[in-house]
Order: sequence, then structure tokens, then C-alpha cells
Amino acid sequence: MPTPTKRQARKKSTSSRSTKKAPGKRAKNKEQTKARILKAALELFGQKGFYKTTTKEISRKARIAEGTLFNYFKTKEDLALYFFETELQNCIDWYYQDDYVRAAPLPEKLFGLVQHYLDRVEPYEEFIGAVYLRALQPRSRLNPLSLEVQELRLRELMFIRDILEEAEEREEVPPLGEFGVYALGLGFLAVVTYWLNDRSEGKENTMALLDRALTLGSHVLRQGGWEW
Amino acid sequence: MVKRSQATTKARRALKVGGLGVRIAGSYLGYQMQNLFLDTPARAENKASFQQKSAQRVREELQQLRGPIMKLGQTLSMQGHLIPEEILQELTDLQMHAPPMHPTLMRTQFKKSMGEYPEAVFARFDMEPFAAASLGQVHFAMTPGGDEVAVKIQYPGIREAIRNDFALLRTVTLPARWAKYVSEEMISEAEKGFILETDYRNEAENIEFFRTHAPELPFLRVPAVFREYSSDKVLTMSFMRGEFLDQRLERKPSQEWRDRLGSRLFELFVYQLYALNAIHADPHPGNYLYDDDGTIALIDYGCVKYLPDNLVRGSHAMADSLWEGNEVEFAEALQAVFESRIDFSDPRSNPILQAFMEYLQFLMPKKGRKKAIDFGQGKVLESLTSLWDKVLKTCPPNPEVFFLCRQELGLFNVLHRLGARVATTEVTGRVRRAVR
Repeated sequence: MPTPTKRQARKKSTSSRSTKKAPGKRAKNKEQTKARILKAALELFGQKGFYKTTTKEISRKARIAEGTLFNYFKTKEDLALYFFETELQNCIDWYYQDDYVRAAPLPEKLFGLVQHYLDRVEPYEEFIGAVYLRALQPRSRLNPLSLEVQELRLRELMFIRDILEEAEEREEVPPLGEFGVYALGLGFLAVVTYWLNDRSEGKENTMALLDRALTLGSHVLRQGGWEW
Repeated sequence: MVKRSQATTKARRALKVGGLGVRIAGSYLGYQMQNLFLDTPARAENKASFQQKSAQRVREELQQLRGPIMKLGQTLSMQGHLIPEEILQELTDLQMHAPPMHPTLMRTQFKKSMGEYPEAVFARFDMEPFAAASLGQVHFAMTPGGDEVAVKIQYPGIREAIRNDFALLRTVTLPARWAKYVSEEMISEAEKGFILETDYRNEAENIEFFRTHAPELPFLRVPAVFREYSSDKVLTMSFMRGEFLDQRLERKPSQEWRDRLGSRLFELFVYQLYALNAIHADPHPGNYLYDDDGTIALIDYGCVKYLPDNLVRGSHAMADSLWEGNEVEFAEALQAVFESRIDFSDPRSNPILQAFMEYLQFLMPKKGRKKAIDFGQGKVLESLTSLWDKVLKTCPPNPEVFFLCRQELGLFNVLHRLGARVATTEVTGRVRRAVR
């Protein structure tokens, strides 16, 4: 079991990442350009699809030279990675700024987080689907075993660990350790996959699945097993 | 080549329906089945404590699952005579206290349906629900215009879950002795009813039907719908004051009050059957609110059933010929109800006719007798139940008759809990004379 001080230190590592880069006009400009490129790219992905969109079109839409684009993102896959990184960071920031969600019971908190994420990425559903397919290719940088994806995944898992440790401290769940972190991470992936396939109105079925899975899961954990 | 058994084929087909993913998300029955297997060790315990414990667990589980199964629980709890007291108590709790959706889920669901969060739509909106409805929960709110309203919000994914459960139900082969009572027609009817109930716009229309057509009952209060704050999953209506039956009974009302209220409830039912030709089809006590002035508010119009003409005509004719000793006319009345499905040419030896007559003669004792039926007596309830039972056992499966049975037994259970004495013949006569 980690001590609270260690936990505090780690929390800093996930929660303050976005503010770490704050100083420096250059860095700020750079971030703004990256965001502009991403916005342009997402619009094009939405219109033409991930595969058919060329870097040339992206640079034209973002009003920068194709060479400049290359300085920021080597490939469309890097753009995709940047997209997921931004969304993850947004979730983390949102969580630490929303007092209501932070104080809510674990199932509601997790529900809120996943729903917040899904609401944000909803316009890019097709793009995410394409990324999923691309990730199946062994040589793709989007492949789950690539360094970049692993790094992203690690940040996600650390965030989950912070949340779970809070819940363990509040005795909402028994100590779950790394197992709980991986299980939740996997669960999140499963929910996003389900969401991609969900054709119900307003993706209502995903909401129902999420709520029931969380309710049932926490019910089981609280009772310490299936004997209830 | 080995021939696959029919059961295997059916199981495989069941798995195919909708795919496994949907099944995980969408079956309430599935959870229940799981539960059946889980409680084997508990069987060793002594019976009473087992019953109490399992009753409590059943309620907790039902609350977790929400929706159709909860509905089933409510229907069961209306059958006071069939179920041990401990379980009945737990099920009664279920009727009023379902667990709330947490605010995050509720707000998300509201926004998906109405486009905005509730606090942006209403001048005031209570995040804590004040009541649970079987398919959702109800919040108190105030419109920008200053009206006090009740906002019913539906749990997500209910419609899909119902479809899944029924798809599964259809693949199950029922034992022959059940198949007689549960026909495919009935299953479809039940599914249609459940699905319709998930569309709150349909409920809004039902409320408006009652508001337009039932103003003749001075003791009845019907809410008003606020269409601009309603959708298929959100229903906003005027807030109704009053207490539920159990709350009211805790204050030990006088026998006179019980009798008066019982008569009104009975009148409300016969009025719906003989005059309105539509029945507020959810007999559980959570749907009635009682106010100090003796008025009754009907809430939850999710499954109003509009009665077919032949059923209403038949019911009138049955009541007409009940005490004339005119079995030929009574047979004709039954024929109207069942249409051409049964041969009533020899009324004397027809068990269906005998069963119906026996039941109705018990419920509505001979004309001129103003004596009231004391529903508070367990014996009365038992007799009525077993008489209905006989009717259902003798007549061929008929959704309308089955439906009426459920409604009437539901009403009698409420009257029993109320301990009311009702002059049934007189009330029925009064209502029917007014219609003529």
C-alpha cells in the first residue's frame, strides 16, 4: 500500500501536467498552432474520413505550409495521438476542477467522467472508429504496443489509480491495488468499443450499460464477492 | 448425423438475437436468473428467516434492475393472498421507494431528451427525486411561469431491455399447462403494453383523455400536462398533493372515512369500465394520492387501456341479466365478450358461464340489497380471488378478461388494505343508470 504522501506526489504528476508548460510565449504559440491544426484536421476527417484526408489538405485548412505541419506532426497518426492526449488531459482537468464530481460516490464519479469524455468526442465518432481499425495494424504508431500509445495509456492508468486510491481511502471500495486500475482501464476501453457500435437513440444503451455495470460492480465490491 | 435437440436450437437462437453485447447491457431477466443460482446456500436456513432475507434481497435486486421486473414485483405485491406476509411487506416498500438515478445520470438523460440541463429549463428544480416511478423517477420543479410541476424522467435503455427480454421469452418453451394461460397473443399484448408505456408522449395523451372525459366524478383529480417541457422520455405535469394509502392509514382514519374512500375507489373503477370505456391500468397503490378533502388524485397514466366495444357491451349485458335468472341473455353477453370462440348454445352446462355468474353474483349481491361488502375481511378477498381463479381456469386465454382480472383483484387488494365496506351493487347501479 502506498503512503498518502506518495499518493499526493503522484497526483501532482497527472493533475498539473497541463499547467507545467504555462510559461514561455513560444511554447504557448506552439500549443495554439497544434490546436489549430487538430481542429482543421478533425473537420476534414469528419467530412472525408480519416484515410482519405491528406496532409496537404490539412495544412491548407490550417493555413500553414505543409513543411510546418511536418514540424508538428510527422504523420496523421501523430495527429490522432495528439487528439487522444488532449482529450485525456481535458478529462483530468475537468475532474479536478469539478467539485461536485470529485465529491460524488465512486460509481457516479466514474459515470460522470466517462460520460464527459464520450460527450466531448461524440462529433468525432467516425474518426475514432477509423483509429481503432488502424491500431490493429502491427506497424502503426497507434498500435497498443507502440511507445506513444503505451505512454498515453500509462497516464490514463495513473489517473485511474488516483481516483481509485481516493475511493479506497474513503473506504468506498476494498483495497484493489493494480488489479483494480487495470480492470477499470479495460472496462473503459470496452465501454468505448460498445459506444462505437451503439446505434440506439442518443447512445442511450451505452449510458444504461455504464450505469448498470458500475452499480453492479460497486455492489459486488462492497459485499466483497458474489455471496449476497 | 446427430440431430440437435429442439432446446439446443432454441438456446442458440436466443443467443443470436441482438448479439451478446446487447444482452449484457439489456436483460433484466438475465440478472434475475443469475440470482436464482446464487442463493443455493441460503436454502439451508430456516424458512421464515430465509423468506424475510430473500424478500429483502429480492427487493434490493429489483430496485437495482429497475423497469419491467420492478413492474412484475408490483403486480405480484398486489396479490396479497398468494404471497407470504414478509415478502409482501418488502414488495410494498418497492412500490414507493425505488433507488434514484444519481444526479449525473438523471441530468444527462434529461439533456439528451430536452437539449438542456433541467436547471436551465426550470426556474427551480430539485435534484433529489421525491418519488420513484416504475420506469423512472419524479422530481419537483417550478416552471418559469411559476407553476409547480412534477417532472418524470425515464431510466435510460428501458425500451431496448424490454425488447431483449421478450425476444428471450419467446424462445423459451413453456410447459403445456402454462401455455394454456399464456398464449403468444398475450405475450405480444404484454410487450406492446410495456413498450407503449416507455413513450411518455403516449402517457401525456392518456392524461388528456382523462381530463376531457372524466370530469363527472367530482372527487377525482387529474393532472395537467405541460407539453413544452415534455418529450418521449420526460413528462412534466402539474404537481398533485396528497398522501399514499399507507401514509394515510398510519394516521388511523375513521371507519366512515375508509368506507367513503372505498366507495369512491370502487365507483372510479366501475365508472371507467361502464362509462369511460378506458381503464387506468395500473392498480398499485402508488398511483393514488388521497387528500384531506376526500378527493383522489390519479397519477401515472402509463398504461391506460382503452376497452374494446364488445367488452363494454358484454359487461353491461352481463350486469343486466345477472339477477333476472336469464341465462340465455347472460350467455349472449358472454358471447359478445368472447366473440365467436366459444359455444354457449347450452348455457346450463357451460362451466364458463357458471364461473362468471358465480363471481359476479358474489361481487354484486342481489338488487335491492343495500348491504355493503366488507372488503376488510380476509375471507371476502379469498373468495373473490378463488372465484376469479375459476373464471380464468375455465375460459380460454383472453387478454381482455385476464386484464380485467388483474385490475379487479388489484382494486380488491387496495379495498382490503383500506378495510372498506362498499355497497357494490348500489354504486354499480348508480353509475350504470347515469350512462344510460
